[in-house]
Amino acid sequence: MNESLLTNLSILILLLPAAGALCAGALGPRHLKGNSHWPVIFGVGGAAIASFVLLAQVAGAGEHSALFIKLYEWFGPGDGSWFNVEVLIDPLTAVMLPVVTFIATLVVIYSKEYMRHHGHPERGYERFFAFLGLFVFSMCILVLGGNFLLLYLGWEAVGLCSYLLIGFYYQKPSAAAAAKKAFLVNRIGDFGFGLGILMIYITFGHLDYATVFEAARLGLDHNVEALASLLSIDAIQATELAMTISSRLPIIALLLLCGAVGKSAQLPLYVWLPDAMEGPSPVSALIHAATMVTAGIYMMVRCGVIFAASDTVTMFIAILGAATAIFAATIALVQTDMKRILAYSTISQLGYMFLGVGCLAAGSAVFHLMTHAFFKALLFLGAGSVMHAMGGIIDVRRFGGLKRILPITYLTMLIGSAALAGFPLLAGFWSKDEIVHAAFNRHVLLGIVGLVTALLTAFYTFRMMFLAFWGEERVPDGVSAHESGKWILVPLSVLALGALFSGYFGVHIHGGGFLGFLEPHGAIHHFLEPVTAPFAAHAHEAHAEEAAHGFLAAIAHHWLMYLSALLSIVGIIVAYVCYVQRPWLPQVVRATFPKAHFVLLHKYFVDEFYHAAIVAPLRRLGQLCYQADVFLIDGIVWTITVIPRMFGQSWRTLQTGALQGYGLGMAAGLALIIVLVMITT
Amino acid sequence: MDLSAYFPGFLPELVMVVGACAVLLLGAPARAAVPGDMSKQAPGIVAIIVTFTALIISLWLGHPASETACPPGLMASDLLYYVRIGGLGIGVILLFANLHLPVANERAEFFSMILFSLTGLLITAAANDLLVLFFAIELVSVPTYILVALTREDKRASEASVKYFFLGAMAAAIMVYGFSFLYGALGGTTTIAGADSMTSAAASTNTNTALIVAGLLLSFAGVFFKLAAVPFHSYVADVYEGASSTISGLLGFLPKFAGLVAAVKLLSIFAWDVPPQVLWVLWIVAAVTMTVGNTIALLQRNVKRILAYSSVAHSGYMMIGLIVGPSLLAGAGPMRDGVSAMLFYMVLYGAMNLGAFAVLGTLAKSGESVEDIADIEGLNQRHPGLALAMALCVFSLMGFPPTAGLLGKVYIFSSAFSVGADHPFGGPLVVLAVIGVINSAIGAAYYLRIVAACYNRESRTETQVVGGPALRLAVVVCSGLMLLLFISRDAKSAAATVVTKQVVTKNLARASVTPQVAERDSATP
Repeated sequence: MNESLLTNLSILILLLPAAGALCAGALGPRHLKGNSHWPVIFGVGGAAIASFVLLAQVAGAGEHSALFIKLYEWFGPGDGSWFNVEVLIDPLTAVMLPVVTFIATLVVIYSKEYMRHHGHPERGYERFFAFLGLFVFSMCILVLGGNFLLLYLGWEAVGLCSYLLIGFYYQKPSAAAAAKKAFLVNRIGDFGFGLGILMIYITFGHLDYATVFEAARLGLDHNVEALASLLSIDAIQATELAMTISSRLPIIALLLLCGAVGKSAQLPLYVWLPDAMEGPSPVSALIHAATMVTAGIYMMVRCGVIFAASDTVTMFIAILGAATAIFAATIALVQTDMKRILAYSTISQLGYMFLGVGCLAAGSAVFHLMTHAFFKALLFLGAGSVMHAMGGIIDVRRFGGLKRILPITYLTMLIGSAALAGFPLLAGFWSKDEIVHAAFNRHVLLGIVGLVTALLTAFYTFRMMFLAFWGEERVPDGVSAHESGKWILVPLSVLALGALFSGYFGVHIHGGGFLGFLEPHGAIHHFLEPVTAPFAAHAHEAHAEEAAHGFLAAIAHHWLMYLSALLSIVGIIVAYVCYVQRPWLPQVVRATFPKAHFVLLHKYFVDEFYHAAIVAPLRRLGQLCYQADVFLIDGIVWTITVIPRMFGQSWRTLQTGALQGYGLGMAAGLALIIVLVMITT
Repeated sequence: MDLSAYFPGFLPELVMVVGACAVLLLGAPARAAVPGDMSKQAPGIVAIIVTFTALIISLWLGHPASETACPPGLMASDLLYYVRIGGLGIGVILLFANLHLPVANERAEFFSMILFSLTGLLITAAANDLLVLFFAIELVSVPTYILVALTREDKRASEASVKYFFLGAMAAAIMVYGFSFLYGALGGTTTIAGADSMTSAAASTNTNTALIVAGLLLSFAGVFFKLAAVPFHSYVADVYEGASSTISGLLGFLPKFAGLVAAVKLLSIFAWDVPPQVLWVLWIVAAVTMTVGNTIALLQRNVKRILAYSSVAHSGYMMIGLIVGPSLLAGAGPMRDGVSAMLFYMVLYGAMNLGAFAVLGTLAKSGESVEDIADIEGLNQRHPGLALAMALCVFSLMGFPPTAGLLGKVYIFSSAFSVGADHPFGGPLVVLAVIGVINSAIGAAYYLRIVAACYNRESRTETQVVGGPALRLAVVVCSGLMLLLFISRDAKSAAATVVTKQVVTKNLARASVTPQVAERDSATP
């Protein structure tokens, strides 16, 4: 790999979006105004081009070794290098960066038209683009960073951008509340995350990935000599450290997991994501579907050595992911807000990714992350286009039969939905199937949950599609529906291509089989192997058996693939029957199981439970503390501040301005010092 | 030995002395012969050129070689190099900031006094003899008395000048009295470095301990005056208030820097191996100085007085680094090395303090200088650039990121925390650092008042921008430095390497010769 080229590329990837954001933020209000999107489009687009070049570089290099580049050393020699701006370029980074920057570019282009109509009276336009650029910059820090401090910096910075953009329409109380909720819920997770990073520092004394992961690996292998020379400590310390490492890694992993659970909206901290839909649609597409929420998965794969070390931890992650996947999918069944359906679907799909990581199929999780980024961004942008046409209304009960009014939106969203539903040969099919496969290898129950969720996914996705686009044409009163312009449709079409074909990065064509049979585990998995090696080492026999040859053998071997394809089609057909052929059927079901529907409609009462169990008591505690603060603490503080004031007053009275007084003061002070010294000696 | 053999090593000092005399001479004929604007501007511009030339020569000379030919009483060390760069660097900004002063006819005298004071600072760093040290400190101080009087035609300026002079004279007398004790304690020598055998022999006997304690305490009394440390701080508010703002910025830098360098010189005679009573006195003075400075500043409404007491408080912080002393570890940066941390902070303080005063100096309210906090209320609405510069400098004084002040404080406190339990003074130093941290929090209260006045209040008064482009340039440079030094690694590591490379070379090497130190000594050309 060409190191100087990669250095320049990573600087470009980091600085271009930042420069764009700065430009839009600084010049926007006075000079650029309606043209504020240009600097951000160029910045983010430039970063995307640089990311693809970087990917080509990494892919072109024969052996995929990681490359650390120290861009900047903040504290100079003699201080210890505990904060360096260093980047790690390896296959995982090379996959993540193009996904982030490419989708971001499309979203920014989309926003040019969308935000014209959904802007904000107070400098809405330039503010939006500045924040978006800032987000891309933060996300690139998160993905490129070569140590845990930079990871944390990016992690918190994307959280901040998310907060700012959810609350973009801040004069709307629900948006302001949603922003606050997202921030606070994430803080719970990030508290654990921060503790995890502190614990890494306490254990290893370093924060850069190279040293920490190597030390963790050596510690697990009880390779004391290598550990001692790596951290330049003596053998006794190294022996102790090796013992500590094996016992501490699971704790570190669980603490880091807290952060991932918050950021990637898993049980029990998922509650912020549905509310985050208060933000503009492009934000939902970019931040709350394609990029930021996948940071947790990225982090777990990045820290593979730490997470894969303990079987219990990975099993826990798998159970958490499976539970979240099916939990969110059931809620999505009855929602009527298009963006909220998609939000629950995102939670469910992130659950799949967790399941993949927990089932030691990290490569598949990253693969699903990539395909999901395409089709979910597409669906959110499509929903935005529908909302745009419907004059800001997004409830599927209030419109229908839009397929002739919004033909291109419909077509692209249909592709996205099919990909999400796992329709055979589309992007989601390949990646989801792999995760389900890995889940079966881990535990049968996990696999079954995965399959059931796949069925539910197909159903709720097409329920949304049929309700919105099929049936008789209905639009809300007073809305003149129209298809969006090309700034919206072009990104949709490009993403639709991604939803169609991005799955083929993850398959390979089997030479000998029937019709050149398509096999899972393609280019992307091989590419990611150096990164996912810690997981693979722990995988039992997952994907160990060679692909069987011959048609029947292939059928036998690939039964799961056919089953999930079948389930997806079944789900779509059921949705068709329920919402197109016999629209009265859902009513009957609802009437038959009123309680179940009630529970699902209220999202299992989790928000209510949190409110009663956590928020309300905390609020009462807060009130109590406030009272205590007013009466007790303020009193004490006031008393304390009186002391320095009194000091000050008394000194000031000495400060009369008379020369003789000053001279006397100096002499007296000196005399006091000398007397004190004489007494003490 | 031919006198000219000494020139190469001390070229910056020579340039400064000659330049100062030349500027002084410019005054006499110019006033009579050349009328108009040219004669007014010439002294200031020549002074800037002279200082800048000296700075360039210092950079070009680099770290003084160990075989530099030194005349008796002078010593070329890395400390001297650091003081040259830091002192002359800030000195150039100082001259820019003061270019519009004074309004009266004594411009030549005014600028030559600044040059003499700067020269004194350099010689303080070069001094290798207590007598030279004394003269050097007085060379820093005496011009400042005159400068206070020359800045403006105001009764308060004259009064401040006289007060400053009398109290300064008293402090000088005490100091030189202390030096006389040291002369006895050291066995009849006034050499600072290089009198190894004699000092170690002298330090071992009991009778001499008392002499050393007395000598050091009295000498430090003089240093305390320069630092404006309690109980020698009382002049500071009156003098800062009396002088014009930009000269107050100078008063916060030159005497203080010279005082700290002198303190380093004094302690390096004994390689920091001084009787514990002396360290305790320094400890108490540091703690009291911080606390008193910060608490009185809380009560002030005059921004110049706030900054004056903040200057007292900062002396307290810097004394922490002085007590910690240099680190004997090879390659220790300012995070470990108290003297490096202190000297880095001193230059930093010079810039941020000057920046804050320069912003005040830029403002005028119907011809009067702006001093009250009410006058800068709503500054952001009137002059957003000046408000930003003020905020940057004040945040830096407070030690708030992203300004260099944070690093300065981190260096000083961390050097105290890192001395370790095996250090004889380890425990008390940690306590002192904690007191310092608490004081930083108290200080935030009045610094934030300044920022809040600039940003959160409605503009009620009309102010004009005065002082011309040179002063504004100084404002920009000072506030820009706060950001630059925070980000830049090179500037910090330069400070670190310059200072850690044996500030007090020879004596420390005697105290504990670690192989690395010895190796580095010989490796440094």
